[in-house]
Amino acid sequence: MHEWALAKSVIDTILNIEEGDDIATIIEVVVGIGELQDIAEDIFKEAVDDIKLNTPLKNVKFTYEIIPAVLKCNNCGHEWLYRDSVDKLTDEEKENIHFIPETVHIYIHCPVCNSVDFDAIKGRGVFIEEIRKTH
Amino acid sequence: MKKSERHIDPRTVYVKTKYRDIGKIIAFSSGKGGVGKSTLSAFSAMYLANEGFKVGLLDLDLYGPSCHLILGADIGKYPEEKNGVVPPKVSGVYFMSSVFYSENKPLVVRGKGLNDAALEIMTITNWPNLDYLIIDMPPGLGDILLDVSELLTPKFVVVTNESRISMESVKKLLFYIKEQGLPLLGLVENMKMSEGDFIERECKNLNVPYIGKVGFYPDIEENYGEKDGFLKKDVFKDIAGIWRRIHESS
Ligand SMILES: Nc1ncnc2c1ncn2[C@@H]1O[C@H](COP(=O)(O)OP(=O)(O)O)[C@@H](O)[C@H]1O
Ligand SMILES: [Mg+2]
Ligand SMILES: [Zn+2]
Repeated sequence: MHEWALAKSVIDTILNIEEGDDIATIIEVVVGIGELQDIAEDIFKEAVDDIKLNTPLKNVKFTYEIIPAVLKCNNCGHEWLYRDSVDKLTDEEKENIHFIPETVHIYIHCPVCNSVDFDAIKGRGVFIEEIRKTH
Repeated sequence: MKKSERHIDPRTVYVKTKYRDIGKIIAFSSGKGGVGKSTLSAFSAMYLANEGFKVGLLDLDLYGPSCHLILGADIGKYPEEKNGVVPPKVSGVYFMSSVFYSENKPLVVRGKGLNDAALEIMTITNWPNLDYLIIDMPPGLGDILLDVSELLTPKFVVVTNESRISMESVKKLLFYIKEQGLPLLGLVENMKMSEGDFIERECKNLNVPYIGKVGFYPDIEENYGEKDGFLKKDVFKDIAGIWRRIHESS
């Protein structure tokens, strides 16, 4: 699954940016899951649990926050939720956005001015929101 | 309790480390469009695969992807998923492109979105153990050039044709590559029709290796999508010559 690659990127990045001794002080990692990418949460969480087992992060608690995708038009300034546009999409279009969230620009236009010039200002994809440590 | 790092994009560090396992990453780049980056990228990948190397081809020209045409990829089928997305093997080459996910429709997006899309593809693609990853770069000096330079640190092959106007833009790319100390294999002169040595002399002046030339072949598009057709063509000999010189010098 492609969720596995995203999970692996989270674990590898934490191991990479934290120095040896610091890793032992990590108690919790908060992962933000942007709604736009629409990943399969259970598969993603399972992948994180699997991958962390063979790393110094095996006892670290991972918590997840689902972040609604907010789109903002650069032309007229309108802000709207991806959620409110999603019904109009075909399964294939949703699948394409799932793999490459930017393909949203192919399938969705600003509901007010029809522009394709908008940004996902929140909730695009997977992010490490916070790494919490004991000291 | 101390809160340390916040809001980190997991993809950049991951891509930087993951792509270090690849034997050689080579980016076909140019300051100019229409000079043959895609043609030489795709043909080079097919050539190297035919030589027995394990070769990947990544099309990063997200505004005008074209390698799928040259290789003959079936873009109507999603790549398989296994620990990411697995690049299908097309004409002997492991191939990844945004066209698998765009229904070949136009992606009109600003720079930030372009970078995000490219980074996403680099992150989710599960390449096999490659000897070579060939990257077909978009024209110009911008978002993708910066990302690729910073994240993948490839060796650059710069492509031009013999036109002075092309070379004018290509010089700017060469200047950037040299000024930043990025690895440069040299310059290839494509679609060569005249006996002139303008580009060769320019290379001398700029102290850039002139790798060689590929002739102008009017029937070059006839064998798109057929590996065996390509291998029989004259252009194949030129591509082989280019790679002989790259192998000798690196
Ligand atoms: N050596 C060549 N001989 C003849 N035509 C060529 C040659 N190389 C490229 N072309 C043609 O030139 C055009 C631009 O090539 P392309 O590879 O798409 O350039 P780029 O990727 O730099 O924009 C295409 O129509 C291609 O078929
Ligand atoms: Mg091209
Ligand atoms: Zn608008």
